[in-house]
Amino acid sequence: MNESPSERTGIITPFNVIAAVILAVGAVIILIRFVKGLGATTNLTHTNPWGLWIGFDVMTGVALAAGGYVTSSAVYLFGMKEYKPIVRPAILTGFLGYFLVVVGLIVDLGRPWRLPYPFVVQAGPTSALFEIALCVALYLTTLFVEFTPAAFEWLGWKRWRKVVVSMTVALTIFGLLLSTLHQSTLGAMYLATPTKLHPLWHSPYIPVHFFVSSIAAGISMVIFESMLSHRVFGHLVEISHVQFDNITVGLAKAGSVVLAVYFAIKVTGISLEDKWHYLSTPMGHWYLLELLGFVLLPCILFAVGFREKKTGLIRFAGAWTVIGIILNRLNVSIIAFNWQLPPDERYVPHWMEIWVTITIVTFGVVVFKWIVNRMPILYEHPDYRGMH
Amino acid sequence: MMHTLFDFLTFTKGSTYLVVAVFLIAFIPFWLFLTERQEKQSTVRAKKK
Repeated sequence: MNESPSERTGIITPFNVIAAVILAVGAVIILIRFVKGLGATTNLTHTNPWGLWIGFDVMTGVALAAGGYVTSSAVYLFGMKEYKPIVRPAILTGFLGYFLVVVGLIVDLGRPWRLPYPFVVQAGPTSALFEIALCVALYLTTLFVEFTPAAFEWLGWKRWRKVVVSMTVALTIFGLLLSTLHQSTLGAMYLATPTKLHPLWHSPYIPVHFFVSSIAAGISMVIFESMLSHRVFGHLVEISHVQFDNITVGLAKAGSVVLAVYFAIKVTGISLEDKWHYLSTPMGHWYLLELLGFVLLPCILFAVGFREKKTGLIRFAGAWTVIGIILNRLNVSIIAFNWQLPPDERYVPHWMEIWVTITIVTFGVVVFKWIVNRMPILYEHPDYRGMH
Repeated sequence: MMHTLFDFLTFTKGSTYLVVAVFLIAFIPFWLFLTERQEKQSTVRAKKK
């Protein structure tokens, strides 16, 4: 176990101080939420029982954590070995993302000791939520196991590492299966809300929309995350700039094709249900902004970036797509939900809800930084070079 | 004018066939735009070898 760079530079850094303040205030708010209930810390009502913690922490969190299954499937199932250097960061991001989804869910639901109830006390196998609960629980475990080789290399546990590495392909297939199921089922939940969700977002094909957009989210998040990692942890990165740029360019091609398919599916859905007339309404303009500005535009930017090998443009398109996915999930869960209610009955998040969400994201960034500074995530451990 | 469910389905399915046809045709120039230079580069590399 080597001394980390953060240990060498000292613990009082601007990042650590800001993170500590956010986490401390967030911890107090979470404590208030568990002691006094949702009413004291949120603007949730019986009309709007799902707010920012579900819309962002769960819906968006799951989508943006899709990089794990996208990259591991590409490398271990489809043989695209050139993307191997980004598998570990993507799996770590996915694992932390899903872990934070569960944290956000517990904060929203309360009574954390009842979390295993769907599996051991009262299963609801016909419920979409049951499938999501089961898949997220299993996939979080799968991602944890997929992440452990890096931890075992750091700890020097060679035998355990060997056991887990031998299961890589099986874990990847299991992870892909679980992701396909729950990414789409998160959308399927909204099939039950045809009178609440705006018709442009509500569609019989919403499970397909959620699944396809999760692939785009995963690819974009990997581009965005690797860009940040290479800037912040540049001293740890082993691969050359050329290799890193080639990976980014390759991801842009995939991102462009996936966004093109997603755009086509969305427009086909509008046509099949004859919803064109909604596009001329204010909500329709908002929908068009999402569809043209955050699906078609990044699709074109990815395509141009790939064609011209412009990595800066690709990274911008990746960040833009991440914003688009956040916007889409917030549209479905909050903005276009209960859209017909008068403004005073609409849900607007309480500042404490926003703070808790920031706390959860900050916690994820701090843990990511801690792990990357210590374990072989962005580089290969000298004892296992080329072995995984 | 649409009066029955059959009318509605005939209209929407008919227009959707056209929309899908447009997308399928549009995908060809999109793919060519995307991969044109990649193919040229791989051809140049193959010739060099």
